[in-house]
Amino acid sequence: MSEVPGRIPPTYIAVLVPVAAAINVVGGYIVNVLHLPVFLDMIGTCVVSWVLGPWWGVLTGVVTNFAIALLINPVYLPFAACNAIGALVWGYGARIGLAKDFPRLLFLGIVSAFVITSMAVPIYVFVFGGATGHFADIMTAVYLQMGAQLWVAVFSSNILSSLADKILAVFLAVLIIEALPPMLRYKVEVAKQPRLRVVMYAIVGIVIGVALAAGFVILTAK
Amino acid sequence: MSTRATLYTPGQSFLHKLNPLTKMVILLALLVIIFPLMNPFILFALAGVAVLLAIAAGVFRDFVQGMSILIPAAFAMAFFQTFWPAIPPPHRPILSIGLLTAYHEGLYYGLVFAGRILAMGAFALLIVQVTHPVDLFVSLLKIGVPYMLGFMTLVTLQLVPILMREASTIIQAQQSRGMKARGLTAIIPSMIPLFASSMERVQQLAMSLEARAFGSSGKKTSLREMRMRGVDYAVVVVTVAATAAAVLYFNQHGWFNYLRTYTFPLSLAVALIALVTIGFVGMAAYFLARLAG
Repeated sequence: MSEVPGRIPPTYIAVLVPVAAAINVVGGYIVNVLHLPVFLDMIGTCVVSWVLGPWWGVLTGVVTNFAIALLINPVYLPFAACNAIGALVWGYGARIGLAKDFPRLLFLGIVSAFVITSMAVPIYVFVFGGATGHFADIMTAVYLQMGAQLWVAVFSSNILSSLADKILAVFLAVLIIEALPPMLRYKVEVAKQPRLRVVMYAIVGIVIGVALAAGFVILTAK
Repeated sequence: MSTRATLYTPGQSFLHKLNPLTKMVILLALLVIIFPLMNPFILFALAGVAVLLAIAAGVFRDFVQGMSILIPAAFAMAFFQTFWPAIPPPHRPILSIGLLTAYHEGLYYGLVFAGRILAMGAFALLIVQVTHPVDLFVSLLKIGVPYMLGFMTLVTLQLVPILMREASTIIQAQQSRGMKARGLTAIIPSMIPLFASSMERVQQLAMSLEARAFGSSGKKTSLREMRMRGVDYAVVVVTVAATAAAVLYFNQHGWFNYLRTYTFPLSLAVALIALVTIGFVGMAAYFLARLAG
């Protein structure tokens, strides 16, 4: 936590991190109400890693998972690692300019989805026996029946919801950054007004593409 | 969804009165035993012990609610392993349903996974239920966990129910303006107002912290004081000794791993496979139905 941005008062940081963590938790509640097969439990992390820096994003992720442990069940604590690595990808990604325009933002979303899923798969396989208790389990069963190894099936199914989730998360984070007071967003350079209809088409296209590619790879590798 | 702050359920039981650090030691000891155990019967029995303790501590109702979240995952892991065991062959088949074949090793391994997550989840949930979050962080402070981490987590816990209420108000307000309450297009009109109002809250909270000299360098004190009492030390010693003995005992018996040798009686196997399959298919149908609307 070395890089306290000079012009943001420390009390602001002390409050912004918990608010972002609470948004992470409540995001999960909103997608539940709206019946969506994504999680949106890392938007706050993304915003903080852009506004305050990657390591503050890591802290947000850890705080989020501590809160989830006390609100839902401590068995989800290992997923703090996923939230933390996401913060690093987004934070450093924005530093090297990957949040600047639409195509780069899309790229950042895809990269973060792959990194975060790579982090999540070992946890799912070793602690949860490959199960997530979510929508992705249906796809896991399909891939298993196609002859995939457990970890391949878990990765292939979870990357689908993760892609939708993380691409959506970075674009929502951009919209949220625009709504922040100027004092907080002077440091970040993000895309202007992402075209959300295009984002939706991109997500649907990428998810279907990856699902088919995974299926193809599994079938040919047998 | 409940708007209660945390899982903590007030009470006066023995478990409630233990120091949070003592409870962390107990939880760690249980993890050390539960994780390597390869016997579904022992694991489910341990989960049963957690249920009994929850009843004894008077937190059973919320305990059931908390555990219900783990049930779909438990069904899914048992289902995956039963039909596609993630262990090297040979696999001894039990029966075939259409394209799927269930195996003894798979059913055994699946039940190990389900039993393990249920046992770990049950004990962890129980400990969280009988520990006040503030007490937990005051105690963790003493063993070197940074103050900021505890402070931020506690603020988050305070904010979640507030933002939860706000989110449902926003969704209802948008619905009354004709927003379709499902699908990706509904995310933006729900999320953005929530964030905007949270930012207002950030400013208010920051000001009130400033007014209370949050940034001052003096020693922070807490309203609630935690002390290790004699009984805490006694419990820690007994826990550590019992865990060491249990590890030695289980290790001598190969952690009761009968994966390769255990053969389920046919009626039990059929009942378990039916339960697991119905559970998983039911979960899948539920998710698909929700997605379709």
